[in-house]
Amino acid sequence: MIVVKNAFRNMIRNKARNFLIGIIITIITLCTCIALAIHQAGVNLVRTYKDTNPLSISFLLNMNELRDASDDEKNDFQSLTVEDVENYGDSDLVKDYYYTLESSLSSDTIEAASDNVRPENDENRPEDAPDDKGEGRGQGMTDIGNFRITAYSNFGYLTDFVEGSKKITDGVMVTGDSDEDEIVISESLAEDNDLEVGDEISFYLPENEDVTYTFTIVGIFEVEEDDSSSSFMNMNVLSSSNQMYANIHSLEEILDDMDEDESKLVQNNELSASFYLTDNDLVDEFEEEVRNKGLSDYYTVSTNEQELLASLEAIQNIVNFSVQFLIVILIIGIVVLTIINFLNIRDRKYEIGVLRAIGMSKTKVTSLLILEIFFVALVSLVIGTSTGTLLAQPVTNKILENEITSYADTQMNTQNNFGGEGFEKPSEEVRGNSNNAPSQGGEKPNTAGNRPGSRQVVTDYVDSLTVHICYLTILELFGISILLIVGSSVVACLFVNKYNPNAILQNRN
Amino acid sequence: MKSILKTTNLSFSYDKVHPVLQDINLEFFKGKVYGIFGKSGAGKSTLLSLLAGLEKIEEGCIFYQDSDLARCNLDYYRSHDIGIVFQAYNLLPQLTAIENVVLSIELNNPKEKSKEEKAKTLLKKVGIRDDLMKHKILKLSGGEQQRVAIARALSYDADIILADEPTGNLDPDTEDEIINLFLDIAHKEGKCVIIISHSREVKKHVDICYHLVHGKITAQ
Repeated sequence: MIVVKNAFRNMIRNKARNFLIGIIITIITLCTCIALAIHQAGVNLVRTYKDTNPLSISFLLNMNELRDASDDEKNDFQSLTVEDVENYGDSDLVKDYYYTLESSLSSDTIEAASDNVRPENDENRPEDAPDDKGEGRGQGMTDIGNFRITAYSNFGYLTDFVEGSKKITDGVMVTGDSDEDEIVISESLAEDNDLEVGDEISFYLPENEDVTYTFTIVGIFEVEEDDSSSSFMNMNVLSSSNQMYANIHSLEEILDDMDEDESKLVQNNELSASFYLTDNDLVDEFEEEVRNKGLSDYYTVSTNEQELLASLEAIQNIVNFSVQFLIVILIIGIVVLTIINFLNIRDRKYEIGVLRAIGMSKTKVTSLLILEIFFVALVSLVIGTSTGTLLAQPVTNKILENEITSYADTQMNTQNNFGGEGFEKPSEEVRGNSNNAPSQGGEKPNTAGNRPGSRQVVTDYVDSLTVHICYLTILELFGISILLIVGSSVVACLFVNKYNPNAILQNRN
Repeated sequence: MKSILKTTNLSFSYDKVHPVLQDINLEFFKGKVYGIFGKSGAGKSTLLSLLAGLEKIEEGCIFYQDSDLARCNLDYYRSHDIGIVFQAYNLLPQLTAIENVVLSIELNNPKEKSKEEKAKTLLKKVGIRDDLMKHKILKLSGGEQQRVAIARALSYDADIILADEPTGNLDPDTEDEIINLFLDIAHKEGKCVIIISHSREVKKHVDICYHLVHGKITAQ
């Protein structure tokens, strides 16, 4: 008790010296805290990014291998069908999946958008280029249609709209689970043909004019930048303006109407699927499962892992920087504290000599000095940790500002790109559990669709990154710091205690 | 009558080559004031250090109440059985006069309730005014510091008071006061006071004198 009491008294008596030591410990703690906070925030952001952007698995047909295959092998080849996709999707390993169907159609009631077609007097125009308003075929080519219609089993995965290169300007997006014959067309097409939401348009199969389809326009979208203007052979069907979106039901109907053999071929080319697994490490297991379920070896199972890793590079750099910063701070801290403690205790050699001379044991003298520095460290740690925790938020926000802004913008724009309401959002599980996010500090605007049957859409966006240091980390920080301080004090005390009190006092005298 | 402190064949050397003390045989009793005199370098302070348990005994023995100091807990011995007044006072400068004495009392008996009162009484007894008691040590004069050092040595009722040149830095009047204080401690309180000095004034007043020449007791 006498030791504790005197250590506390000494802390106050040696104000100037202890204040200096306190400031140094506070600065070290503050920097350590901020580094830890940045590290945690970065790790959380990476985790959230991975959660919200899980690996997408798709099947790519190896055409070269198929072409080189024997006739028997070609006959045995089973192309991917919607049933296959649904079968593969019905797996415990799969969190979510979607597929798209695509077909080309012709129309005699509307004309293909001509915004990307060169003027008639264009000298550079190839002689065999298709007619502006004619069918989607060149000279000697089969009619492949002018309009490309795509359906998504879940339109929330429609990246053009998610990323903002396309945006609904009137009406709404069709929904994947609707069985109405609805369609969404481009602004250019609508303007060229004087169409608006609510109008009906008809199409027919390019190879059979007798099979027709009538769709009601439910939405019109604008194309921010039509990168297909230089598309292959200047074909209308490849232009973004002649791209349309319908629901799966309509596309299945169209594909069913095609010649069976041809349908198979079309499905083969126009069906694509993406799968999201419960865990990104289960890719090999999933591949084994789909192979067992009958996926042909001509399909390659591929992921977008490289793309994801590249996106995370900037954040990963921040995490790595924070670790390096932490190590540097700790090394500097250890060195500075050891030197200060050593000098401090060496300066107090006389005091130690006197205390030993009047009968205080080595243990008590050592405890007294260590306790004194311990009290200083404790106060400094509390101040440093509190200040660090408070400052960590603005510092981290500043450092990660670009990432947050970009992330928030993407989230905000996605809603607008789909016409504000009514689009189907990928399942929450695939988008990531918002509770795992660093902080979904933003509001959650309720934009429930008012269309019958549409799903309620809630868009989460990040407008701040809440940084908090967990208690365990603070305890670790305290433990490490106290250990360092006490350790460096013990070494210094042992150094002083090796002298007998008489030697200390005589040297001083 | 049994001696309180006794040395038998005590020898000491710092470098194992040149002896500082040789074959010292002394006996000290309660109620007496002893003076150990000698020139500088005669070994007086070394003898005091050995008697105070501040140096390890190399040859010979020192007995405190029949207990061999070599086998005793010297920390306990210094904080309970012997009070030391150093030539350079060796007070803690960051503490006040009263805090220096209180610290010594705490070391001896942490459970002592009236530490401050006891310290004040002792400081008054050695002639420290009330207003000086709360002064930091460095603000006190040499004589006042010496008095505080004496008060600290008396703070835990030790049987033996060892004083190294206690009047070396004092004016004649103060020297007399301090000598009288030591005489009172020995004669009235029955303690054994051992003074190491080369002051003639001290020599006049002590009960028993020892002379140390080149590490040997030459006269008594």
